[in-house]
Amino acid sequence: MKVTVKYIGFQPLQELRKTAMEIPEGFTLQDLMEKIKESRPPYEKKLLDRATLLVNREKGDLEGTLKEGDYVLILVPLGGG
Amino acid sequence: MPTGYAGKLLFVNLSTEEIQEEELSQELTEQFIGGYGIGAKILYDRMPKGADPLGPDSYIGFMTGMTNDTKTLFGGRYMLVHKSPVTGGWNDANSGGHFGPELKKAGYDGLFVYGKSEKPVYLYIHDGEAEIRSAEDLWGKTTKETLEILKEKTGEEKVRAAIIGTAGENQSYLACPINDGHRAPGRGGGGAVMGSKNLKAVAVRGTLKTEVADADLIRDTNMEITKSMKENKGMQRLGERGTGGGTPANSLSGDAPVKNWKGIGILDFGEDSAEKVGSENMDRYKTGKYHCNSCPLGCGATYEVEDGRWPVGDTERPEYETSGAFGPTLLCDEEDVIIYCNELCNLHGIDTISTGMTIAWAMECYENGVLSKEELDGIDLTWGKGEAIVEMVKKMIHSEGVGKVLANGSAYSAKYFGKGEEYLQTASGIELPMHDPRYAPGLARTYQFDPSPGRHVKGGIGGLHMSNKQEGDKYDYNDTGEKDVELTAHREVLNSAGLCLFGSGATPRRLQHQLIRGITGRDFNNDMGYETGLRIYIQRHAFNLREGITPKDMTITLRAIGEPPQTGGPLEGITVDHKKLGENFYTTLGWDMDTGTPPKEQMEKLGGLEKVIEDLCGTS
Repeated sequence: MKVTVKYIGFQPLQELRKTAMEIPEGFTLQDLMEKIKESRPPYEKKLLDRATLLVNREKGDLEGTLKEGDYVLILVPLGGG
Repeated sequence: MPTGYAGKLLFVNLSTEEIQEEELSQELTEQFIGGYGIGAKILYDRMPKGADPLGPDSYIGFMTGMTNDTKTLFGGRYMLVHKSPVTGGWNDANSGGHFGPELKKAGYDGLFVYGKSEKPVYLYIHDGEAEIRSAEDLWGKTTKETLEILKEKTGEEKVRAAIIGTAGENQSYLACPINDGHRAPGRGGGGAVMGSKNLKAVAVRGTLKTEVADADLIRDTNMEITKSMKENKGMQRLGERGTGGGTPANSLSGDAPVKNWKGIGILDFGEDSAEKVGSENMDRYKTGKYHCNSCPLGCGATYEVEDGRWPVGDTERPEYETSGAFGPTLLCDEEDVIIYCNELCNLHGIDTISTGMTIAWAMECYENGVLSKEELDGIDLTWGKGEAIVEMVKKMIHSEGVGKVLANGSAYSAKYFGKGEEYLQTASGIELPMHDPRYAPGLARTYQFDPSPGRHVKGGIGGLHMSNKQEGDKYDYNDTGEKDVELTAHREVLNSAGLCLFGSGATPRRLQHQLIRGITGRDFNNDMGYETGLRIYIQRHAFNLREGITPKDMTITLRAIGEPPQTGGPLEGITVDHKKLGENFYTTLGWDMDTGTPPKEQMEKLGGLEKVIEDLCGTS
C-alpha cells in the first residue's frame, strides 16, 4: 500500500522531502521510520530518532498501524535562537 | 591586571558628568568571570534597593564577555545588565555583533552608566578615554542613521555603537539598544533605561590589545573547535540558513507558539504557511553572510528587498525568534511583513519577541471583543492581517496612540485597560519566547525561575528538550533537579565568558574550560565551572530577592504549561508539571521555596557573596 511521507526540518536529509512510499499492510509508524532510516548515515538516523511525527495531521503513535493513503509528516525542529 | 582582561571598568555619572575608572580586580574575574556575572556583582553592590528602573539611581551596565578580543572563536558576545522596568527586578540581555570586543579594545571590560543627563548625549569611548558628547542632533534618528553620523562625528569608519531608537527615547518598556544595525540585547527594557538617562548611544573604538596567558593553547583549542564545527552538519546548516531555517519545522512541531499560544501549528497555520516563513524561502533576498566578531560560522545574512509591499532595500535576515513572533504567533505567513517588521524593530530599537507577542495578545483581545476597534485606534487587528500588524508596529515604535500603551508590553497593557489578563502569555510579565514548554517541558522551570524570566537561552534541561536530546522521557518529572541545576550553572559560565551559544556544538565544556585557562592562565575545571556558575546565578537571584521578588512572585501563564491541554496536534493532551520541576530545582539547590534564600553556609562556602549574605541573612 502507498503512504506519503514528507520531511520538514532544519537540516536537509538526503532524498527526503515529499515522497510516496510503498509499504506492506500492517506496517506501523515505527516500522516506517526504521525503513526510512535504513541505509542512512548515523547522523541522519539520530535526527530521525528525535523527530516529531504527525500522521494525517495528528500526533503520531509509533505503535499505530498505517493505512493506505496516510500522510506522514516528519519534523526536525531547531532548538534555540 | 588580570590576564585576559582590559583590567578596567568605567563608571559614568550622567547627572554630574563625572567619569571614573576603576581597576578590575583579579578576585572579581575569578569569582564572576565577566559579562553578566561581573555585571550582577557590580549592580548588586552599588545600586540601591528599590531604585526606580527609569530613575537616576538606576545603573545600566554594558559588560564584555571574558573571551572578547582574545582571538577565541565564538567569543564575541556582550551583555546589558540593569533593573527591568517590566519586572522591577534583575535583567540581563545578550547580544552579538562587534560592540563588546570593540569596548574591550577601547580599554574597558565594562561600562556602567547612572544618573541622568539633562539633554540627549552619547558616550564616546576610545583607547582609554571617554567623553560625554551632545546627541541633540541624533535624537529621533534611527539606529542605522545614527551609526553613520557617529562615524562622521568620531572620524572613525570602524566605530561600533549600541544605539537606541525612538522606542528607547520614548522609554517604552520593550525598547532595546541595537548594535551593528541588527544585533540586540533585546529583552527586558534596556532601551528604556538608556532613554530615561537621555543616553542615545555608546560609541566605542579601540586599537588596544588584550594580553592572554597562553596564545598557543587558545590557537590549538580553536583548531579543535574548527575541526569539530566542520564535522557538525547542524552547525554547517546554521551557517547556511541561520536560525530562521528552523521556523517551518518549529511552527508545526509544537515548539513555536501559534496564535498567541492557543493554536495548533499543523491545523491553524499549516505546512504551506510554515514553509513560507522559513529562511529557505526568504533567502531569495540574500546578498551575503553576516559574521559576529570572532565567529567562523556566520549564521546571519544580509538581504536586499526590492519587491513586496514594503521594499526596504538593504536589511538583514530575520532570526527564528523574530519570524516566529511575527509569523505563526500572529498566524501571519506573509514574508514581507516579517522582513519589514524586523527592519522597523531594528531601526527604532524594540524587542521583536515582545513586540510580536504583545500584538498577539491584542489580537486575541480583539477577536474576543475584549478590546474594541476604537481602542485599537481603528486598526482591524485580525489574525494574520499583515497591514494591520505593520501599522501597529509603527505605532508602537513611535509611541503613537494605542502604540504608546502596547510598547510597554502586554502585561502593562492589560493593567492599563483593566482587562485582557486572561490572554497574557508571560513569565513574571515578560512575554514568552518562541519555544513552548509543552514541547520542551524543562523550559517551564527556566522561564518561571531564572532571575531574568522568560528566556530560552538560559541553562537547564529545557535546552536538551528543545532538541529532544534528553535521556529518557522528557515528560518524566522525577529526579530532574540534579541535571537541571548542573546545566544551569555551567550555562552561566558560557554566557559570562561571552561565548556564543550556537558555537557550543563545537565548543563543549571541556574546550570552554581550556579556553578560560588559555586566556587567564589559571586553572579551570568542571567543579570550578559549577561553583562559579552557581555563584553568578545566586548573585542575579539575590538582586530579585532584595527587591522583594520571591519564588511565589515568579509566575508563568497557563497555556505554556498546558492548562488546559491542547486537543489536537503533536502536543495533544500535554500538561507540564511545572511545580515539580521548580521544586526539584530548589530541592537540589537546597533553597527554601518560600523565601527563595540560599543557605548562608552555601553562600559562605562559595565566597564572593558577602553583601548578599549581609542583606539576606542578617550578618556576613
